[in-house]
Amino acid sequence: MVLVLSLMALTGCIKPTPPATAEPGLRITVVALAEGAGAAEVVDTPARFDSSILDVLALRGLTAELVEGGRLGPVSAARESSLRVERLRGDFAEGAMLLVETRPGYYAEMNGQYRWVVGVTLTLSASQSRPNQTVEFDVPVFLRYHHQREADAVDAAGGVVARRVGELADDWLRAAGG
Amino acid sequence: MILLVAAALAADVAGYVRIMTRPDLEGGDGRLGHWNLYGRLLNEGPYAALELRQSILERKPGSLAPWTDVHVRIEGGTVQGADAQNGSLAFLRLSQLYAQAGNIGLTGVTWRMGTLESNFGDLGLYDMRLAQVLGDTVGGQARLETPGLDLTAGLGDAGFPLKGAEYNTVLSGGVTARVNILDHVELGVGGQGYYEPMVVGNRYAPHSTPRVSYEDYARGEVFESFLRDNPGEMINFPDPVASDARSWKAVGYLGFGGFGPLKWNAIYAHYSLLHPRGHVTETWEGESVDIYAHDLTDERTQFTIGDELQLSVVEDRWDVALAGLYGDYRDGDNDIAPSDDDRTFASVVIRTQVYVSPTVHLLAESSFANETSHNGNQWRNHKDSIFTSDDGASDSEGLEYGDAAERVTWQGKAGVVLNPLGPGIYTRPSLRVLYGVQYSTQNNAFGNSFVESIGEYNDFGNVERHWHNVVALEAEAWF
Repeated sequence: MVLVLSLMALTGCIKPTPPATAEPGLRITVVALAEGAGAAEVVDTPARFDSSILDVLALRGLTAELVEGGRLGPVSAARESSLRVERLRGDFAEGAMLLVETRPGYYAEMNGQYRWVVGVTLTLSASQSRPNQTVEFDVPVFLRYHHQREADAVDAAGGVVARRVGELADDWLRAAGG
Repeated sequence: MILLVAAALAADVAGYVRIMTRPDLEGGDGRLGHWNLYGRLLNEGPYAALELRQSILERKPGSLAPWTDVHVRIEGGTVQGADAQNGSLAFLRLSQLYAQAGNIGLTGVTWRMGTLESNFGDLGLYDMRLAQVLGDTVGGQARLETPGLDLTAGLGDAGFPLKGAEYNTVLSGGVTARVNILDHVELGVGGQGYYEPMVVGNRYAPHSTPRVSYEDYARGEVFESFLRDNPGEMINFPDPVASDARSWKAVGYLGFGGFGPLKWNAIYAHYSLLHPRGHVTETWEGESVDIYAHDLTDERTQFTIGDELQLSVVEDRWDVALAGLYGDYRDGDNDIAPSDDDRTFASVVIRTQVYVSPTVHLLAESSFANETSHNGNQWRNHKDSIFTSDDGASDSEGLEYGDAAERVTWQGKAGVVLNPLGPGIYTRPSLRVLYGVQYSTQNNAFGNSFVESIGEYNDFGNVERHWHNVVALEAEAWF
């Protein structure tokens, strides 16, 4: 018990750099989608993945509205992020928008774990008149069981993706004077 | 090495590493016990695996166009400063090399040529893959993956993995089928067969030396016994008789979960008839002969079943993993000498991990294991057990070893884990500080360099020790 309390106290003393803060009432539309190898259309990302992104935006004082990827319809035909953003602007968003695209793909089995790679593209469009900020990266994910597929891979990548979303939001808000 | 670095720069890289230091003040080699039956934690050494994937035709999201890639894996159990091999590249191996292609000829089928493998999963607390086929085969494999059904069939040669430098072709074929029912239940079955043909004139093909007793074979005294019975008649030592050799294995898997706190429960099993052995060389009075052992090693069977369940007791606060393992190995040719091919073992392992914060965890694990030899004493319980090696009496000609046919082992482990990526018993990387303790009925039941002789010229003395303690600083990562 002493060890537990000491650890809790120790971890509580570590102060991370505070995130940037948005102006009150600043809204952002978040569009999150997943596309898998062989799948013809984009689908929703898992609920826990979505909430981890919404949480880091809320932490910065942003009012975020989620548009799930499965609702996009014709937008899914576009494969380029900039084209998707352009189409989404007309259909779903007027102000700031964050497009989160995930591409889970199976890699190989390694030491009894199933390795997946989730390709991620984050595109932040602050407004129609400003250039988009885009970040691309891969998240390696290890799943325990064969039945865990694309959705589980995206879900497992949620923590890393949320962290990168937070960094992108910080850059945007600080550049805007937040 | 330069080629490896160059290839790594051009390809997707994945890997697995674990490294540890476990200073052992009780004379051990840093591992708490002898093997993973007591749980893999603190019983495994360092390991590194690097897998490179070069996508030649990339698999595109949303496309059913052909794709192809090449995989190369290099792995081994040694790291500079962490084990006796000190990271020597001689102990690393190119364990996998294969090319695969999809959507060619049949949509949804992946063709693979090179090293093969199909398994139903890993018994994580033991780090064992019980339901695995084709892992020892180089050849061709086809895999059909649909949302509810996964079929794999492969064919090739397992001669080098089974026989090494004494290669002879061993034809190998295997199939697995896995059915998924609503993501809550999975059922898998599979099997693999081996056939090593008779090749007259090939000394590495299956042969049997006639009229050999198992006792002489176990003692390594076949040739000596023959010459004692037939003085001066070495020329008449029986010639080996050619035959073919067959072996097989059947595997099964049942998984279910996603109900309440039960994340998943996985049961794996296999039953196999081991492939007969080749030959041993015996020397007596300066003359050597090869004893061919097909008929002396063709009745060895292994049955192993393991179960592991994962519970989320309190979401993101407290997880538990519980596993059990049972094995029954039989050797129908051997009724006289204790051996690893003729024993029963069983164990349970429980691990609990409490998440003090998302990245700081407390881990505790305990295991209890029983191992029983079918052919008499196999272990020494005391430092002077050498005097009671056979039915409680000293017997320099006895086939038993030590004074116990049963080994009972308990282990307890606990410590602090730092997981940068958050909660999860199998979330990595993990940086761990652990303490482990073992009690075994066997004396000095861990890797050591103790002198076991109790002769008058033993200058080091003997030690009676049933408890063993280690402290570990270790890291483990998948990437």
